Amino acid sequence: MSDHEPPAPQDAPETPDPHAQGGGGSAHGHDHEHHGPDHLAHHFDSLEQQTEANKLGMWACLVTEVLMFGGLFLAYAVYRANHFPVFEYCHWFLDTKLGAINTVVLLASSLTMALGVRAAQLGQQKLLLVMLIATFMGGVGFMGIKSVEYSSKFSHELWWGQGNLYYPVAKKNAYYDKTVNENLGPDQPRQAWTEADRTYRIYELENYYFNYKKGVDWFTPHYIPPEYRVDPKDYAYHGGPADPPPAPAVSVTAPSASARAAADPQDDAQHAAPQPVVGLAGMTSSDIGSPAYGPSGVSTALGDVAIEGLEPDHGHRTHYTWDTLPEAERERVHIFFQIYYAMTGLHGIHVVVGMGLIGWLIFRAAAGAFGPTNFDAVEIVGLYWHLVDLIWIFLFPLLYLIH
Amino acid sequence: MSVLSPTPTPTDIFGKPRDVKPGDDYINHSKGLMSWLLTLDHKRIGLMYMGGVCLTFLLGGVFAVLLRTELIWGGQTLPHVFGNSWESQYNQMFTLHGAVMTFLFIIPAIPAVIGNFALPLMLGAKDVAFPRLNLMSLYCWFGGAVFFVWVLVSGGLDTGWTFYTPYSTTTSTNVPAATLGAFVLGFSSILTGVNFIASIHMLRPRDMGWFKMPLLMWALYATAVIQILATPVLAITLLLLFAERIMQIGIFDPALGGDPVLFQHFFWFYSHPAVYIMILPALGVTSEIISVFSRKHIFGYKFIAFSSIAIALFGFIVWGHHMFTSGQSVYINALFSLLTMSVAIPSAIKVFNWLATMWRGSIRLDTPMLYAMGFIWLFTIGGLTGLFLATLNTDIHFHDTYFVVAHFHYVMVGSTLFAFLGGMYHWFPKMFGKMYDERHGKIAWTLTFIGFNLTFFIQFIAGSRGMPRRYADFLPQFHWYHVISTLGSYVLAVGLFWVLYNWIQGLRKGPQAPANPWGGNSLEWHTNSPPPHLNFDRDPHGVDPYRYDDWKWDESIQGYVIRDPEKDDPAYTGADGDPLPGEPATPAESHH
Repeated sequence: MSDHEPPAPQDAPETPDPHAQGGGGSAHGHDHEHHGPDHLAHHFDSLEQQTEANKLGMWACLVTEVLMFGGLFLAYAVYRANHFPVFEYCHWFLDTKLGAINTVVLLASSLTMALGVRAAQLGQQKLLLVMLIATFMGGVGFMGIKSVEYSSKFSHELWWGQGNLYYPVAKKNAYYDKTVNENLGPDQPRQAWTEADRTYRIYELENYYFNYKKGVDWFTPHYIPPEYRVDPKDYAYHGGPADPPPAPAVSVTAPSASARAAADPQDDAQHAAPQPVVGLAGMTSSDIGSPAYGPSGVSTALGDVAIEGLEPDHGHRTHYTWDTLPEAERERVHIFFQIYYAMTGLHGIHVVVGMGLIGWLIFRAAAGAFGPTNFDAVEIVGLYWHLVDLIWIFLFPLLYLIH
Repeated sequence: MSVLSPTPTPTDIFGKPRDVKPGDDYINHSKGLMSWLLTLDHKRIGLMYMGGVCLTFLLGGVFAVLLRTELIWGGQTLPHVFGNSWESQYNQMFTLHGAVMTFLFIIPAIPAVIGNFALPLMLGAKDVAFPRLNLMSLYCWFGGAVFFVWVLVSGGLDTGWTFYTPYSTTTSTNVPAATLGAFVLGFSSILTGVNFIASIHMLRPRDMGWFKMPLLMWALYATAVIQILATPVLAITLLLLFAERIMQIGIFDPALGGDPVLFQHFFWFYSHPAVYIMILPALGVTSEIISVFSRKHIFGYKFIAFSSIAIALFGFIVWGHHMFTSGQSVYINALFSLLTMSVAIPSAIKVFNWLATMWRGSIRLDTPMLYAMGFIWLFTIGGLTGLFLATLNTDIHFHDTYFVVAHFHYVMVGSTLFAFLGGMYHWFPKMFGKMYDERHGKIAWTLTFIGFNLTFFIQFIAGSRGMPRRYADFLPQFHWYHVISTLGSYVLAVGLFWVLYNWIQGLRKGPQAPANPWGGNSLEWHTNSPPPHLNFDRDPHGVDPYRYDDWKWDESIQGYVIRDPEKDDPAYTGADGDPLPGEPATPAESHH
């Protein structure tokens, strides 16, 4: 209050300015008549009060953000508790290396943001600009890596919902009937999955993700090396099952040979040789029934059962495979990806919003808008950016690391 | 003394005539549509909110009257206009009634209209902490309203306002638009909450500690805490539901492996506290009105203040009482039942404190006081019937019957609506600088009060005898309950239109309002009616908002003026050594 000019007496003569406040002739002008620096809003008494209010408001907003993500974390916890095998199984599909790199990128951008706030407080305009641009680039890097991850998941049909490779075939076909096949002409092939198609592709994915250098070659995300690959023309979206697979749970090579032979006899000579499947090649359903595995297919011996063909770094622990997943959980694999996309997607939206805010700061900073008494905007955007960082710090281990 | 005659000239808080120049007050401060649409003035934003909120109240009310009319006879009553059948038409009507009333009317009504208008004034501030956010919150509200209009014209909505899965993921009606609308409205609510918290923390004047704030500030603070803590959970819930509809992300859809009961947990984690978003500001408004119109210091200030906070906190841990029949664990049920009953403690503290405030007070039965007393009546009935629903075994019987309908209409509609109307009457002179017609105000109150009780009290009986809610038809034994309820709703509708007429007449022809028509001492009465653009001609300082000794009735202006210690009572220097409001008495001696 002490910064105010003293109010004029009640009976003061009328001010000549018609826009000035009346009501007895107060000295308060309209919005543009300031009683302090330009960036002090009219309803605050001092810059300190304004800064405090801005920060308090931002903290309140951050609380809402935490609660909003809290809902998702709760959903994660509930589904993880209810469908633990699914979560254990699926987290191997996420690329820890890319996630770790993203963590570093985001942490580094938080550092540059903090340095930017400091630069603004010290009035170092150039440094501020550099730091803001560096932070922005951190956001670009994060989203870039995230899109590499997403596109590799998409290319492997690890979608959410019905699009997911693991979604039960019958339901998937019902969905295709409703959405795609309804609009097809009589001569166009109907889109449908067969159990053999799906099982083969699942084995293919398992081989690829569990055994091939644990993760995606992130410079060529769509690339699956030849020994893990089959021609989608042969195995997916084909015009209905021609030849049912010999058994639902078979060794990996069996559906490959029989399904391909049925689908494309001319091509048979080319592909007849069994794929050089590493990894699960030797593992069949008969292995699952062995005493090392419990009745539901869950390993009863923790920590010391080596599964034949697994890479050494995975060999010391048991983890679920398609063959060992409990039957009921097989239908629910897509749940993990629903949670994954919901959490990382919402987080990504927040990163993009933060990049927009930082972009706005860059323009303002380039115009020299910030200084030692006027850095509130930089500071509160910084708070937001740190929160986005913090949420990722929780997302990364929950989704990528723990098992 | 409550008969008000027109006073020819506007007066200030000293009862002195003041010159009225263009631009004096916030209403004529600047002209043109854009000066309203782009205003950062909290008072104008509050007024625009009022316009919008009243329009949506009308819309929700039309649905209410329609669905009561549908139920006046068994079988089909209204012509079948939309929906697949007349029954689905009924489903759409009760859904839209509930969704519009809840999300567009009750939640924003008191915080966004009365809170926006009165909070900075009561804090002696020039505006809320973030005026731009405030304007943004208004436009978020308009945006949400547009979504709901879209829902209206694009297939409607028939899920009930609760959007329960799995029905909401399978129905063909426009659930995505409705969830997006509620999502955007959530932003509006959050922004208002953030604004209020920052304003209350940062903008109190010198001499106004936390315990010198008017109790409405405590209530709005507790509301804001709920708004920023609970609304984001609704936001993520609706976002997931939206993603489920649009992208088949099946967090809640059992067909996709989701868990529909999880939706109920998420939904009620917001929507139970949201009940307190609706009722807490109403409790605050009532605290103000009861004290002012009893001409007596509020009884148990700190108890009322802390009971607001307690209700807000309790509100977060009782959501499971909406789900006693959902198959959740019986141990959780018992816990939620116990916690739910504990909410009765802070609620009862408030009611007893109001009664103690009125005890031996010098009660003025003006319209705002009638609404406040009506509020106590309705809130008590609503609260006590809540105990039946908090009890596990009776809830099994009452669940999804008209008993529940009557209960939540008593607390949400009866209480909140009555407090909203009472608050509007209370601050009407301050908002517009005009007085409404007291006689019409009382007639309207009588109709509203009788109509409301006729409509809903009978529903307790119907519900306890087994009439299920959300049914388009009913068995013959429930016929007379429905007839009485429907007739009551017509009386209620007439009463509400009478209120509207009263306000419009007051705006058009009402006499000039004095600065302080009721003799309140909170800071909004320390400025002109209507207030100037920046609220105060001088920086106010904190006073005890419930000490009324400093004001005396002035017959000539039909309002209260500040007691002049020299002239009126030389020996009097204030009850406890506080500076008199408006001190110094002569304007030339500024307190600076």
